[in-house]
Parts: sequence; C-alpha cells; structure tokens
Amino acid sequence: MTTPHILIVEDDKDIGLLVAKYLKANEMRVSIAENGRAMDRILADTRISLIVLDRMLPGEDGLSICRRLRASSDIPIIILTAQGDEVERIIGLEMGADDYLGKPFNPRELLARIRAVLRRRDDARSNSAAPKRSYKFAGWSLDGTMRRLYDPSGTRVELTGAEFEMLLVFCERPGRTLSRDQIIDLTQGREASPSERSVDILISRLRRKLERDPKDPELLQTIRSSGYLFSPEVVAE
Amino acid sequence: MKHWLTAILPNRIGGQILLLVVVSVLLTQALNFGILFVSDQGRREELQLRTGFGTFISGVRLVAAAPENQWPTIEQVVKQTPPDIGFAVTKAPPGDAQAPPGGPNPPPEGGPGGPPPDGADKGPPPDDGGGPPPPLGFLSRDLGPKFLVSDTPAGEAADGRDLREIIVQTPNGAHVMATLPLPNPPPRSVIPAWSIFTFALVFLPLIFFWAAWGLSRQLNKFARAAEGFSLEGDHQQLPETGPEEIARLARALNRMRERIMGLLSDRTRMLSAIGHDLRTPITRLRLRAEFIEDEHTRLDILKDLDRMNRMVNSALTYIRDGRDTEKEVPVDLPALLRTVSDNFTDVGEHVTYEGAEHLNVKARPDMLVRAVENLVENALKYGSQAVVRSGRQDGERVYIEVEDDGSGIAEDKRQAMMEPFVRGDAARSSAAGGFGLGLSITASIARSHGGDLVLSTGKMGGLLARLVLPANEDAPRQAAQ
Repeated sequence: MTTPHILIVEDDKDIGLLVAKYLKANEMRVSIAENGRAMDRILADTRISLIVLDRMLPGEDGLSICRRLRASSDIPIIILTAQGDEVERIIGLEMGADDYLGKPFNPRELLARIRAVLRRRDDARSNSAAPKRSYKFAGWSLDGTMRRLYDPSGTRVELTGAEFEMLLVFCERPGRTLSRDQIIDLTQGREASPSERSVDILISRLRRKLERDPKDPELLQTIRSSGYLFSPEVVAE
Repeated sequence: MKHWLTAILPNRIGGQILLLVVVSVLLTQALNFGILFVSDQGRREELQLRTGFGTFISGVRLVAAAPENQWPTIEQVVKQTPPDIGFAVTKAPPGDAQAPPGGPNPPPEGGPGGPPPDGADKGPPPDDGGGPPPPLGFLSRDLGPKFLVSDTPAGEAADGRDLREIIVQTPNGAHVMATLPLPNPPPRSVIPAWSIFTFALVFLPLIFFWAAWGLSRQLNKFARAAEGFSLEGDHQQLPETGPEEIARLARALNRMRERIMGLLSDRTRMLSAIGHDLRTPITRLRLRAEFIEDEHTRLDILKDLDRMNRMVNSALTYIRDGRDTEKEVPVDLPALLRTVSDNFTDVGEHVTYEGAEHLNVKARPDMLVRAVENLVENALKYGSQAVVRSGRQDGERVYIEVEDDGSGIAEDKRQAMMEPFVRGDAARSSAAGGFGLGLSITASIARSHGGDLVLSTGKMGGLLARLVLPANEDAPRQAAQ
C-alpha cells in the first residue's frame, strides 16, 4: 500500500498544522487547504487519498464542498464538526461524507478513522461494490449511517461504540468464523478497539441485547477453540 | 348569531357582570309575576265563591231587616241574582229551640242598627247542627251573634268541593236557606314565596356560576399557557379576544412571552458563541498535547482538556435541550442503560446495571442517554461506584435509578440541586468539575418525557436519583420476535 496522501481543509491554521504534523508522524503525506478554492487547486494537480474537511469554513462551507465533491468523485471524506451534534452528523453523512468526527477530537482517533475509511474503500474496490452501511438480519436492522440498531418490532436498542463496530464487522462477514485476533484486527482503528479478553466481554454484551436467551445464543455462536460465527442471513442495503 | 351577540354585549367584565345581574333580577321578577298571576286565578275563584256567600249574606241581612210579608220579594230578587245558590226563606217554626233568648223582644225595625240583644254575650252557636265547621266560621263572624248559623252536607259540587246546605235563623224569626260550596282553604302564599326562593337559590347561583366559569376558563387558559411556557417548539399565541380586560391580559402575556423568548435566545446565542469559540482553542490544545514528550504531563493536560470539553458540552447541551427535536421512538430501556453503564465501565469506572432484562418504553433515546449519563457522572463525582437500575414502577410508569456510595445530598438542598448552575458542594465542585448543569438537564429531560426526577438517600448512604417515566409501552418485545 502506497503512503496515503491526506488533504486537510481547515481554516484554523494552527489546527491544520497540528493535524498535519500528527499525521506525518504516522507515515502519511499531508497537504493543507484553508478554503474550498485552495482545495480545488490542490485537487487539480495532486492525487489525494482522503480529505479531512472542516464543517465550518469561510466562504463555501464544508457541507456544500462535500456535496460538490461527491457529485464529481468518490474521494473519501471525513467531516470535522462541532461535537455531539446529531443533526450535523446526519447531514454530513447524507451529503456523502464517509465518516464524521466531532471537535475537539483525539488525533489518535482521527488517524484510526482515516485508516478505517481507507481500508473500507480498498475492500469495496476489490469487491467492485460500493461500501454498504446498512444491514438486515433475522428481523433486526443495523443502520450504519446513524449507528443505530432496531429489533424486529422496530424498537431501538442502544449499543456502545465498540459493540456497534463489532456487530458491523460481523454483518460485513456473515457465516464466517472470526477468531479473536481477526476481530481485533478488523475493529482496530475504530472508535474503541478491543483487547483479546474484551472481545469476549463485547460478545457477551451483544448477546444480552440481541439473543432471546443469551445463554443459548442463536445469532452469535461460539465456535470452540477458533472464535465466533454470526449465523443469520444478512442482507446489505 | 354569535356576531350580533358580541356586538351588543358590553366590552368590559364589569359591564358584563352588571348586565348579568340586571338580567337575572328581571328574570326573578318575571317569575315572581308569573307565580302571582297563577295564584291570582285561585284568588279570583275564591272571590267568586265569596260573592256567592256575599249574596247570601246580603239576602240574610235584607230578610232580617224586612217584615215577613216582604220576604218572598227578597227571596225572588236574590234567586234572580247569579250565582244560583238555592236561596229560600221560610218562617222559623214557632217555639224553635234555636230562638234567641231575647225572643220576647220583637226584632227591632232597624235590624242591623238595633242594639244587640243581651244574648250578645252568648258563645258560639249551639251545637245541635254540629255548629258551622271552621270553614264557615266567617259566616257567623260576618253576620254577628244574633244570627244562628247551621249547615248540613249536601253532596258535592261539580268542581269537587263539598256542598253545604246552610240555614240561618234571623233575629226576626226567618229561616234563610242556601246551598253553597265550602270555600277552599285560602291559597297559601307560602307556595309562590317558596318557589321564588328556590329560583333565587338554584338558578341565580347557576347563572353566576356560568358567568364565573366563563371568566375563570379564560384565566385558567392563561395560567396553563404560563405554566406550559417553555423553549420547546413554536409557542402558540394566546387569542387576544373576549372582554377588554381579558384581551389586554392576553396581549400582555403574549408580549411578555416574546420578551422572554428574546432574552432566552440572547442568552442562548451568547452561551453557544462562548461554547463554540472555546472549542477551537480546546481542539488546538488537544492536538498540541499529543506532542508533549513527558507522558505524565501529557495525560494530566489531556484530563483537564477533557473536563473543559465536558463543561462546554454540558452548557451547550443545556441550551439545546429545550429545543431538541428528537422524536419519541420505542426503546429497549435496559439495553440503553447497559450501554451507558458499559461505556463508563470501559473507561475504568465502577458502574453496574441490575434490573429488568428487556423493557420497552417510548422515549427520546439520545436525550435519555444524556440524562442517565449525567446521573452516573454525578454519582461518580461524589462516590466511587454507581449502580443503575430499572424496572416497572406500576402499570403505567417505569423507573430508572442511579445510586452512588457517596455522602448524598442533604434533604434541604435536593431541590436546589436540580436548578441550573447549582452545585452540591461549592468547595469540592471545582475539583469535580462541571457547571452544575447535570441534574437540571436530567430533570428537564425527565419532564420533557412527562416524567420526573426525584432525589433521595439510597441504601448505600449516597444519593439515589430516581427517574420516573411514563411507560407508553408497545407490544412486548418477545411477542414480536
């Protein structure tokens, strides 16, 4: 894999430089643009792997840039916006952003998100299909955009970030036995990457929320001495 | 219909009440007159009846005053005078026991004008005929003691009254007879007075109650509007109609509401500007901190930054909460509570969940998460561990409890703790962090769900925060699977 080239579109010079410095320290090439026009100039003559886009920009704002970019390319975009604003997040994701991060953010998490988005893109390209973000299984539905899970009666079932990421990994790979190491690897770089022991904890937590009888799981089965298997038929949307 | 009504109604409450009083007094009077008219009928009949007696009495007097040879003439004349009372005059049989004691004394020519005979002191007439019953007492009274009145039953008149054959022996020895119906007892004046009183007692209060109800309904509407006033959604203007005072009050309330909204939005703008402006430097610091070599210093700085960020977030959340547009959806409450407590457990805090496994409620899940997070954060601020519980309080409500093992909140301070910007312990709060918004945010979230937040002391000695919510249950989850 070649060194990814990240373009940061951020009007605050200090933040731009600091993010750049952090990403460079983690083996990435970085360019910085202060606004939409500067971004366009860079995009015109550079091959960019991913754009980190600030939501609030002078002139053309982040959302409209995002929409404009989506109309012409499928370059991965991570939007940075005010933290904890659900509406912002939904709008951002609907505008075609691949992920979302609230300010102030942990740079480690930004790095992890960048890696996750890039990997997802690679996966999708090799599968020659657009990445799916929503899944249905055994009457349940997992909404990847809103990060929400609904049971067969339509009742919302809350998940922690780690539980969500793990369930997403299982939904992406139904019917395959995944070892603890694989699960750790696949969820790595996401919001909360589990340790080997915490994989078991996460599994038991998920079972509690998903299974009719957590002691006799039907959906998340234990495959002795090799790992876990997500048994239901999964429909991606 | 309503249009012309409003056109003629006076504009002010005073005028309306005055009109009401006038109308009800008029009504009372009208009823009064009505009753009088009805009872007047009775009195006229009575009068007629008395006229019958009147004719009789005049006849008797004439007979008493006339010599015997003129009696037939008198009888003839009276007979021709309606009503027909069966008037007849005969000569009293001689030696009649009923002859007045002054019998030897011939009746004076002047009859009524003559001096009363010594028998005047005699008591009521003799009892041979049973004496006139009390209804006929007036006959003796009218005629005087020299006339002897007796009567016997003579069947019934057409109108159902008892007929009496009355015989009066005059002082000059004539028997004057007539058949007359017994007069009814005079109509009781008690009946109309009673009904007027009843009307006054029942209908006037009803009318005034109706008026007062109309007035208080308006005022209650205002009270409800003032009570329900909040930042939530678009508020409805009170209708500026009705009596002038009410309309003015509505206008004043509407204007006050606008002013409050203005003040609140100013405050909101300011706080959110501060909040958003603080985020940029916090973000920069957060990034700079990553490059600090000394692990210890870096972690300390990151911890402080996290605290600052939480404070900013809680302030922004507090501002936003009133206007949150999140919709109520069915939520698995225990899953939500487990998620909250697991999130705390994952960062090394001691938070456990116990209670129901599945419990469906209708709620705004993001707000509810925030509410419970605030309670747990608060619990961990003052204690070392927190226990989250949930269950059914009764058929219609569910509860969420968060209990800590800290020192609790004194009873007199609990209510204040739910007010914004109030902290449990002024000395400790700077270390614990926060603007003192946690519990007030939670309380307002509880209220927006139609529930309530109650603080008390738990079994572990610390604070027990109990959030009671309406269940609004859908079909049980198991049935749907």
